[in-house]
Amino acid sequence: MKGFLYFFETIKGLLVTGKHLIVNFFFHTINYIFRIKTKRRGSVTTQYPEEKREIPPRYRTKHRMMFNEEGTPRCVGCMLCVTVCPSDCIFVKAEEIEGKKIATEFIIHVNRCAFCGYCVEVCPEDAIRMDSGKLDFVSDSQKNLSLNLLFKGKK
Amino acid sequence: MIKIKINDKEYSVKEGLTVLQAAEEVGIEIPHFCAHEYLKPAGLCRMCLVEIKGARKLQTSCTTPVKEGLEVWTESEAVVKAREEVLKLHFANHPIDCPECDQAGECSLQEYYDKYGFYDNPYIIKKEKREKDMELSDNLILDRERCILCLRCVRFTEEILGDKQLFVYERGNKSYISTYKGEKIISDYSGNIAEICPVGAITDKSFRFKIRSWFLEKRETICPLCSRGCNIYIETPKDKPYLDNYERLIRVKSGDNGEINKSFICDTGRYKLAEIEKRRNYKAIYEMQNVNWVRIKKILLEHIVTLDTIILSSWLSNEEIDLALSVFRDYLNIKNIFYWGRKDGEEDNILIRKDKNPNTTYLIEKKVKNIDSIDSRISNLLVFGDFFEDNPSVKEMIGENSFIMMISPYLPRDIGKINLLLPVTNFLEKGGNWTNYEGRGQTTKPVFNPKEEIKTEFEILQIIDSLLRKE
Amino acid sequence: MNYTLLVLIKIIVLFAWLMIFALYATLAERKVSAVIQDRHGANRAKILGISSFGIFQPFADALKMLFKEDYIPPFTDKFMFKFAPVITFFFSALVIIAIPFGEPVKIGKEIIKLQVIDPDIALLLIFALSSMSIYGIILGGWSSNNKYSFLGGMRATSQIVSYEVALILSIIGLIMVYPSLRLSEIVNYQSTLLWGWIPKWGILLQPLAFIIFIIAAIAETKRAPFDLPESESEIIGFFLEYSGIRFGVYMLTDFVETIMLSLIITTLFFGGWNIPYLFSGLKLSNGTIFSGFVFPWGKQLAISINWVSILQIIAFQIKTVIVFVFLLLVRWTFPRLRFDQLMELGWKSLIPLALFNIVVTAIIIAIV
Ligand code: SF4
Ligand code: SF4
Ligand code: SF4
Ligand code: SF4
Repeated sequence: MKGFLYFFETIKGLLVTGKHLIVNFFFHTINYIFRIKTKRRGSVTTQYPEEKREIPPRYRTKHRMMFNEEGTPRCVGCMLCVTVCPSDCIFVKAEEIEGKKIATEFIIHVNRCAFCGYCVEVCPEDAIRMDSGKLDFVSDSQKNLSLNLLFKGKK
Repeated sequence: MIKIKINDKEYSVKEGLTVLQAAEEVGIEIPHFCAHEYLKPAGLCRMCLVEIKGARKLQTSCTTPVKEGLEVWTESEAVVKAREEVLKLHFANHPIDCPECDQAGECSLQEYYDKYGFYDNPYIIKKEKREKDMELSDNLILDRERCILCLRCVRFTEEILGDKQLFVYERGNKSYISTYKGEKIISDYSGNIAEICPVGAITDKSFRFKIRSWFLEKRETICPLCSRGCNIYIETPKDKPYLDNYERLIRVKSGDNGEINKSFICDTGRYKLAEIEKRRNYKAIYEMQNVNWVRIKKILLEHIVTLDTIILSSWLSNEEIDLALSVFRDYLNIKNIFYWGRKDGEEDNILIRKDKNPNTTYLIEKKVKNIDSIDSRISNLLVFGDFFEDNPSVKEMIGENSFIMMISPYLPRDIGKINLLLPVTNFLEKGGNWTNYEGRGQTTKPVFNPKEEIKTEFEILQIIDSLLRKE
Repeated sequence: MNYTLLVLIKIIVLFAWLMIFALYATLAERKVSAVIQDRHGANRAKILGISSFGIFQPFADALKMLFKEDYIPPFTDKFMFKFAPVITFFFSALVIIAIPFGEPVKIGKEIIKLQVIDPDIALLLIFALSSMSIYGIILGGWSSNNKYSFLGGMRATSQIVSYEVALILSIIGLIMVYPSLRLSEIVNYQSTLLWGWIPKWGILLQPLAFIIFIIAAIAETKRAPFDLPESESEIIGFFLEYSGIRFGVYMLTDFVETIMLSLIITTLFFGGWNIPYLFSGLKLSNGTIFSGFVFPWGKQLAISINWVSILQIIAFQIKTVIVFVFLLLVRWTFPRLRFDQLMELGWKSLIPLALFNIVVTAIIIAIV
């Protein structure tokens, strides 16, 4: 009797997958072969490099440093981010410049970063933010993944 | 002993204490800024207000002496409310730039705000703008905005130094701390002012913006730079990967020992130790070449038996002196055993002693002669430490073709004369007992781990001992 | 025409057909699984910027397999290690020689069977051949000098031995119904009609045998939900130590076996090349020879004999593909069985059911 039940359930399972197969295949065909755009696409994935998902406004992406109007970094080297960072990946050095404490070295090893955003939360000067919208940083060496946030060029 | 009641609980405390001290003794914390263990009570900051039975108003606990049957409440509603109000006033002009303040992490204001504060700033008026980085002396920087006018600094110069170099100028909201006409403070103890300031108003230049205080670890030891034997803390970065590029000795703070140095130390101890640290040598050198320990043992064996003079250093610990004497005086029967050390300097009646070495007293106790009494010429010499410059007469006594062995943690200034140089741990890497000028023994533990291959003087003496006995 | 030459040509054509089918079977597997799971599947392999549904993917895969390092671990039995994948591939591909792809066609004077050989024990032959392929797997596992591979090989052996029994027993019901073991005759028999309107397809005559057969056969091909011998992802199977093209051969064998299975199922249960009511060379009552559709309600549709052959070949291909896709669907629907469940299913359910099927079939045959 139990075997009988199993048998029907397996048939049901086959019907479920079969339905997916047929329905999705239909939409794939009309979307990608006949190029007819329908609302339903038959897949839930995005084709990454060509189509990108929209990044929600509070999504945590690559870090960036904020600068004052004079062009000096806002970071005063309080090291709170260094303290709070769970992956130990921030290196800050500050020096006295014209009587003010200003960061002279600010390196984040993105390779180790967990993107927890604690550093952003903790910063008392709002110096570091994670809203650059850059998600795809790829490199063939560890070195290039140590971001120097004080470097103001492109990158 | 008298009986008092704090927070409805009975305690028996010593006579002559203030309520604040009594509470501290039994483990009840009363927040305070201006009260300091070794300064007279002033009752300025009003932070230590407590409720006392019979008194109409709240009383400052730092100025109220304990008496039999006193009843105190430190956490009652009125006290908590008052504390909050006092804190509000303290913050009225405070800039709150903790992110760039060197005191952050060890600041009383921060701590109490965290514990008793958490209010929104009630004042609409703008905070006073004042000078933020005024040089108070060669090693101190004053930030007048952060000052909460507890006057610890003023009282320190007045009571401990006795020369009253700091004053309060103006009144009320405008009052500020300054020296007379803005001159620089000149004192051998100025470093203490930065240390006793409960907030970041007076900070140390050598520590300015260097590292955050919560990355540091305190390790207790004794200052070896004079025979007072002041207790000090060495602060070193905690084991964290991002602190790799710092030196191991970040700063020296005074330890607390009421019988020796209260909680103050002199500037020499505070700033010179780091300098001494830098001249380390880790290589054994024989005739200007590196040698390993197998070779060294052979050399030692060859020359130890022909030794005629031993010069001990007054930086050796009691144990090392004992062992050295038992080996050289009792076993080898060497007559010419002397001690030497840094040459004498100035002294005052606060802390600084004339004798600039930590352990001379013990050597004298053991009847070791001072190097000045040397009269015969030296041909084979074993010497601890490098103090040739402080004792120029020794050089003249060294004959031609002499063999000199030196055991020193630092590179000697005149290496050419030394035939065998053995590196050892320095005073921060070894423990031991030290006897200060008044005969008080103090024990220390090693502050830092030595490099692996470096031995202590004690171990080297043990090696010599075993070499001799094997023969 | 020379008999040998003919066989050679047939073998070459069939092998080419098999390889192309197998290559695209790999793509089909990836695509079907993707589509079932609401994904896209492989669509990145491009030539001149054209990817069009990833049709170049199999070639990219093959290239990758070819250029990977072919590592042979130390202390293995080198000869056996290299030989094992070939054995499996050879025997599972060999099954194809007995499969009839269509009705014999007449070209000129000669009648050519669309089948390499047509032995009268074809049914036994294909099962004998396909169970030979297990040797490659056992040898591969044993010669790898690796405990996990060895255990994988052991699992394969016990699984296949157990399911062989159910497989053959389920076939017995068919053999009782069909007049011969010759596959072409089996298909011919399935082309006839029961009571004048039901095609005598195996699935209709022997539904229980079909179910047992398909379960046992999937177990034979070692695919999910019976992929315990391989189980790449966790318990590690017999080809653990294989890499590069040798691993590729094992992979391909997997698909070849599935294709063979679909061919056999089509032949045995779905009437082979038969299209219902389509007849070629039917002798009508008035003596003429008719080819075309004859529907049970009497309507007739004449089609030229060549077209009938072509239609039948196409029908066979389509049936095979449908069965193949169904097998993929099964593979991507069910989770794997535990080993004890596997054995229980084999010995306690399938074999008694198969025996039951034989008895029922025998009774029915005796009555009718
Ligand atoms: S996001 Fe988290 S892990 Fe990354 S740097 Fe900031 S604190 Fe560290
Ligand atoms: S917390 Fe902000 S201000 Fe402090 S060091 Fe980090 S980035 Fe700089
Ligand atoms: S004195 Fe204390 S509260 Fe004031 S800025 Fe410095 S750390 Fe912060
Ligand atoms: S400078 Fe420091 S010690 Fe002196 S009054 Fe101000 S807060 Fe107190």
